[in-house]
Amino acid sequence: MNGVELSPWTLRYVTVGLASFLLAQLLVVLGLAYPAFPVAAPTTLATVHLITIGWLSVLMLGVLHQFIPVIGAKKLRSQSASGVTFWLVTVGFVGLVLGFLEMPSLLLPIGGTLVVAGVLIAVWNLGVTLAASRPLRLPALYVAASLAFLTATVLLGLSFATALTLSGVFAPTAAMALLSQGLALHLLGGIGGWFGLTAMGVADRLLAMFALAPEERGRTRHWAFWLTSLGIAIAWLSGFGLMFSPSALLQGIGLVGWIALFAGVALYLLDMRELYRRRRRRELEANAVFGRVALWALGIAAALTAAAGALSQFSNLAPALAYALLVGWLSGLALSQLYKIVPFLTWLDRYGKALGKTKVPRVQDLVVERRARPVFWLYFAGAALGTAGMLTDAAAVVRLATGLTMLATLSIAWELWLVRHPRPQLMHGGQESA
Amino acid sequence: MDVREDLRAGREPLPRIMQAVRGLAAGQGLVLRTTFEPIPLYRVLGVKGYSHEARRLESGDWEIVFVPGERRGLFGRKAKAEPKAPPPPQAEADWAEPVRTLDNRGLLPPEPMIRILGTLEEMGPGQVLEAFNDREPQFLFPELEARGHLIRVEKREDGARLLIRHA
Repeated sequence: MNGVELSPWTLRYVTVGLASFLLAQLLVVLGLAYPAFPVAAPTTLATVHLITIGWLSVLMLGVLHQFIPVIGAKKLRSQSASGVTFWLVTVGFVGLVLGFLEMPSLLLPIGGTLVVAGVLIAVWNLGVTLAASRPLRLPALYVAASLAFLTATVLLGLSFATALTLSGVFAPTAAMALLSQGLALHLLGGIGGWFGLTAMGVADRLLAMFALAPEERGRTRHWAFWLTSLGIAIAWLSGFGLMFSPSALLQGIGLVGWIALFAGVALYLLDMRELYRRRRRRELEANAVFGRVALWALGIAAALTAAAGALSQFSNLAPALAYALLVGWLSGLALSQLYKIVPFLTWLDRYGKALGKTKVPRVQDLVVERRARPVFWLYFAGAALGTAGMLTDAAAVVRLATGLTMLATLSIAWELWLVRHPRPQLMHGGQESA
Repeated sequence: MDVREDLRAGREPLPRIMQAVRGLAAGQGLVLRTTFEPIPLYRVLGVKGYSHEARRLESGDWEIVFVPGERRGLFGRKAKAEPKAPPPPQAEADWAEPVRTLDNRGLLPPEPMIRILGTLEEMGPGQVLEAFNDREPQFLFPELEARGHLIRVEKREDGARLLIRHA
């Protein structure tokens, strides 16, 4: 018989992710990272990787170990490999973050190697599961493409860590070229390819499912995927070629890739608007309401990025753009979807066996949306303020804004903790507390 | 296939079982009833690509449903059995006409699952429930399995038609 099982690891990934995100925000609030410190300062690099590996990568890996089996209707190849990935990536990124603080430190390549090992196991585990569920539908295609970029991004990151700490592995000029030009590829592959495509694919499926919108909404949806993913691939590969030899042709090809990427994102947002318009559920739950706010953040961040590129201000504004994408769009989307995913998985786990036999609470009874909604608004207000602060180089504003997003994150994490650990007096209908 | 008589009479059932397995068409499954849980057989048939679901009958005997799946062989090679068309684990004739029909389209998950499991509780052994869902209910399958119900899924343009046979 087919059907998927609940992954015992997903919620551990979520816990590590939320803890990393809170710690990263705390470092910014305390003025220990950019913009109070330079972009390349050890504490800034540590903070950035707390967000990118500790929070977003760990979270997305955890979610994908549950999501891929569900969208493909195939059991995960190995649950225990999911656990191995969890430990390798968690231990590896802690080493990496400590390595940044102690730079140059052997902890960088060692931590990086552990992260890469964990990621490769996950790519195998998830890739085999995806391959078994061919032909792939659109959300699965997004994820397949994002796994390829994940692999490229961690391998590139590991070669940075090696070049920074182990002189002699790369020739000095190669190391320089790698660190100066490779960084843009690391950002493009990581934020656009890995986080971006994963977030787009997961949102396409989850929002359609929970807003009761049709999954097939026409050609725009498919064009959005192909333009975005091929655009990132083309821009990435031409940038990779440019590391070895300057060439006007490669630059031109790269530009085509970037244009395709922006066109793809624009079509994606149009298709998402179509999703919300054609939904059958009028009253939206918090995850769909704030998923839409996160999509607005993507639109604003993408427009800012395109404008910065057109005005040749890209390298000056890169930190602000990365902030808008990472905090506004990706983290905002992640928090809002966790507010649905965690209660849903908890409900299945706790009440699945009793369904039909006794009365069980509804999924929505596990959360108190009235209490959470203002908190999500606080989060997105903080992210908007923070983006403005980053664009104007106002360190105090960024610290204040991060204080707001941190409070909101803490509050959402607490709500999720209550879902997992209900207090008897809060339970509806006197269900047993697990 | 029932080998309980063989076992009670002290006859070795394995040759008969293997003969039956060899007689299966690609994609076909086998339901086996025995007096004990035949753990060594799992391995033998696992190598041939069959996965199994065992359950204890009320009489204390065992019923094991073997379905062709994607289990790997002894040396990690892909097993031969083709998983492409998951077959009904029971013969066609055993599936009666549906006595109840649920239209779960347009319901927010997990509402379809709640309705299906609730309706099944009101039904009797062997009765069939028909349900129309927006998508294949992935989280329903393990629950049906745990309760011993059998399911057939027919993919459709607008989702899936499910036929569920009460245990």
